[in-house]
Amino acid sequence: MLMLLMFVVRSHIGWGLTCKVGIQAAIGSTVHRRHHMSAVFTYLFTREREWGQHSTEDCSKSFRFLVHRVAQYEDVTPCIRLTALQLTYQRSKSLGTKQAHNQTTPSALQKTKTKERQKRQKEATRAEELGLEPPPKPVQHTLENTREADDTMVDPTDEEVMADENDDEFAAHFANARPPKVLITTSYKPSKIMYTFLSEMLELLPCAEYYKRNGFPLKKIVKFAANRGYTDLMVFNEDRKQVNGLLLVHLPDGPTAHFRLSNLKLGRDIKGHGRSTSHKPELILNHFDTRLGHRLGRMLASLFPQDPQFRGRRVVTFHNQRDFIFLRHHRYIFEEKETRDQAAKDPAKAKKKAVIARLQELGPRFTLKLLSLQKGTFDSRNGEFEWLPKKENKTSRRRFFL
Amino acid sequence: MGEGGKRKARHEDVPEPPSHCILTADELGLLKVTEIPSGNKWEEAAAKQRWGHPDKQQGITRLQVHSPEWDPDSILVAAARGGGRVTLHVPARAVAEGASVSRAVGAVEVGSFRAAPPAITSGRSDTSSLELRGLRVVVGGEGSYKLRLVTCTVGGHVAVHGYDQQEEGGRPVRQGDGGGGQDDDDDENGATCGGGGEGGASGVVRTWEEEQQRAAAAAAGGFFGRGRWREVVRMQTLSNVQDMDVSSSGRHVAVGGDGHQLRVWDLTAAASASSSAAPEPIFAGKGGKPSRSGLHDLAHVTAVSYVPGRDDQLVLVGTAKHKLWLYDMRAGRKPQSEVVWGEGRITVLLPQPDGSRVWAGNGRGQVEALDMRQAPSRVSMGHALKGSAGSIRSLSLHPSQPLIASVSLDRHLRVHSTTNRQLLTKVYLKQALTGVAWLPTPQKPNVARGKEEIDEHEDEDGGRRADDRTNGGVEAENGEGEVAGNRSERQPVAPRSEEKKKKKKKKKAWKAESEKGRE
Repeated sequence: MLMLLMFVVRSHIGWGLTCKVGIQAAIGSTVHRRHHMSAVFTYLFTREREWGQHSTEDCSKSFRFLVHRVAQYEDVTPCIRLTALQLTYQRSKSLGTKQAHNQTTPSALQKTKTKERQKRQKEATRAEELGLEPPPKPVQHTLENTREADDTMVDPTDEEVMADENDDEFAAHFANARPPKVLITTSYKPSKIMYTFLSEMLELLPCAEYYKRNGFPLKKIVKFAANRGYTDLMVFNEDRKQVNGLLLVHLPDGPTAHFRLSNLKLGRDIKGHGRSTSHKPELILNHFDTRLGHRLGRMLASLFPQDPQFRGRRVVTFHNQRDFIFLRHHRYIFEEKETRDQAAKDPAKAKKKAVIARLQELGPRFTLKLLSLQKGTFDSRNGEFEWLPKKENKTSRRRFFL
Repeated sequence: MGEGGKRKARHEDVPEPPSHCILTADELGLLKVTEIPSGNKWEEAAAKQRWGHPDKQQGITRLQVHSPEWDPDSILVAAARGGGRVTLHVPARAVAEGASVSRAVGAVEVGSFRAAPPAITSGRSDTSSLELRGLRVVVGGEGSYKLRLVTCTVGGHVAVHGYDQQEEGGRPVRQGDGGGGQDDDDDENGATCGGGGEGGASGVVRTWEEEQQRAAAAAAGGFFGRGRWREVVRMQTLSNVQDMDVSSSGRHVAVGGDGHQLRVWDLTAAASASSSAAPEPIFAGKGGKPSRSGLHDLAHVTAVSYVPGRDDQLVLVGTAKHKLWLYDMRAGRKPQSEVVWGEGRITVLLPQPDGSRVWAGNGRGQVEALDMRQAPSRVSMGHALKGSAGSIRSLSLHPSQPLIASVSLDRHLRVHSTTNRQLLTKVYLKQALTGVAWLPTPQKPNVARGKEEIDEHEDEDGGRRADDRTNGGVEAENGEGEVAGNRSERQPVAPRSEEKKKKKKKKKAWKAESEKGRE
């Protein structure tokens, strides 16, 4: 045991001849447990020879392997096992630091980055001294600003697009001629999870009604709903106790959008959530830029009435980013808040009043991804599609369609 | 290209004619001309002209272009619009002063007629059955009308309108009884009494503006501006028709629809038959074999096409259940071969003029060719053209070059090469497109050129000239001094040789420039 402690101490210094001697000594001294301990130490000893030549990566691999091997020796006393582990860990750490120490030269990329940063800082301070405008900050490249240019981006003043939208399936809704009336239903045999979700969806949508599916085929449901004057049909799909799909059919012969629904979180599971009221909500539609996105945005907007009640302070957001549509449901409140400007010398000016908006999350939140947009009502096999995701169109990671 | 820029000094007022012109029709009733700049610059393809005003009531469902000798001076565009009307257009030519280059800058409507049956009830009625589902141009054939348009509505009303070249004052030429064929166009552009020209053959009201329009049409429309379109034959076929095709001789019309299998009628028989008896089809097809589980598909034909070169006996039919059936009318009522292809309804069938391949497009944006060389024993699909994200609405083959233009609901026009399936260009045209056709490009006039230029061109085109000469059917478009045009009729080549050619051109440009500098 003493030898072991010596061993541990030595390993902190780093492998050297002393440790080798230490090992041999340790092996020599313990006779009655030789076959166990020697096994461990000879293993360490052999490993040590190899470690001298390997990098930290391989070292960690060896470390993992050794841990496994050590764990196998059940009758090796725990303290030995622990020590062995400590040894290996210390070894790898020391090796790592040694390596880092050996590699004092940073990589080429790091060098250029530090140089550029220093240059920028110098320029900025110089400009400030001289009273000039500071040099422009470099813009960070994100997937959104390096997005592949799409030729279908909608220009709001485009006469043809306006003419098309004046007479499309949603024109009646936006002209306040056709108020929304949504029919919600499910896939066959929904479970309790679906029912709790639907109760929240019925709170979110002001003009929605729920009907049981009862085994009716979808094409028939579309016909029935159109006959009874519904403007939209939403069918939620459930699989293995998870709500995972949404089919949105605009009636009577409008487009059909099929979405994948993911990351669902019910309102009751959100910390600090609130209960929705029956006020008509405001609607926010973000980043529906392309022609397809515009059409989809109009489709989602036609689920909600056109006259929001601002006093209710309720807002539903459809935020599109990278072809994922995030649905959020909040209540907002504007408040005055005093902020202290610590930098200001004048105590009177130190307190500033600012109006801030606070949000309380209500109902469910989920993410939608468009799987297909079909012209006409639901007819997945024989219908005509306006948009389908095709492999040949996914030319790069920076190509988005909405 | 470099040469074009340099030569600007010499021919400033003569712009290079485009190498290709494609006409597209959309749901808003707009006709757009997309031009590919000279030299086959596919990446610079853009919509250059727009004919008409956006109006959804005038949405175009079918488009046909008739240009018998592929001559840019005689083009007739027939567009089937909402409400069962067919409007005919001729690209207007704006004559430029000085250089004698005339380029189409607009279109003149030279006529229109109503292809739907006269309304039986007064007041509002369901007009969905008046939408046109078939529009075909038939040239020649017997009878006094050399140019005829055959139309078919959703309600199954097939009508043949013939073009009467005589002036308005002349005697109208009628063909047979035609089941009560009207002798007047019952509606003109603009004012008529009663809404939408409801079958009134008596008393056509013509206003002063219309007379002016007619005069303008007659002046600008050339051959097609002078005459009128008269209904020759009308026939009631099925209800709920989805597609129609006319045989090459113009005698038979094949119709298929929702709830009906293929039926073929004889137009000449209908013309001479009495109006009371409904004509019997000369061929009524049956469905294909049942599936493995013994189920027959419901009859739902969505595309019909005669296969050319087989004496009008072979008809290819596409169903809503993604099946292609090949009927041989002599062999039997059931399809001779069946191909299950893709998912989604077959929306377009376009045969190649020699009958070796039939291009099919479906509701999922797939385009493939059906090989007909060993039909009906062995048919196979292949040669897929990729890229469309929306349902294919129309296809059009270039009459002489291996190019196919496709138009889909994802608002793009695409041109592929039929030899190597490459996507040559994709143009965004803002509306859901419904029809496409190639237009003959305006040629460059025979301007006397300096020897230098010809030498330059000859040096460049040396090796490729041979190719151009063997390219069949190019004669019509090539004028004598049409060197620029020659370059455009080049076969589509692999990218590497394109780069080599670009390098060659650059070299030549540099050489020529240095020469000029020396001068």
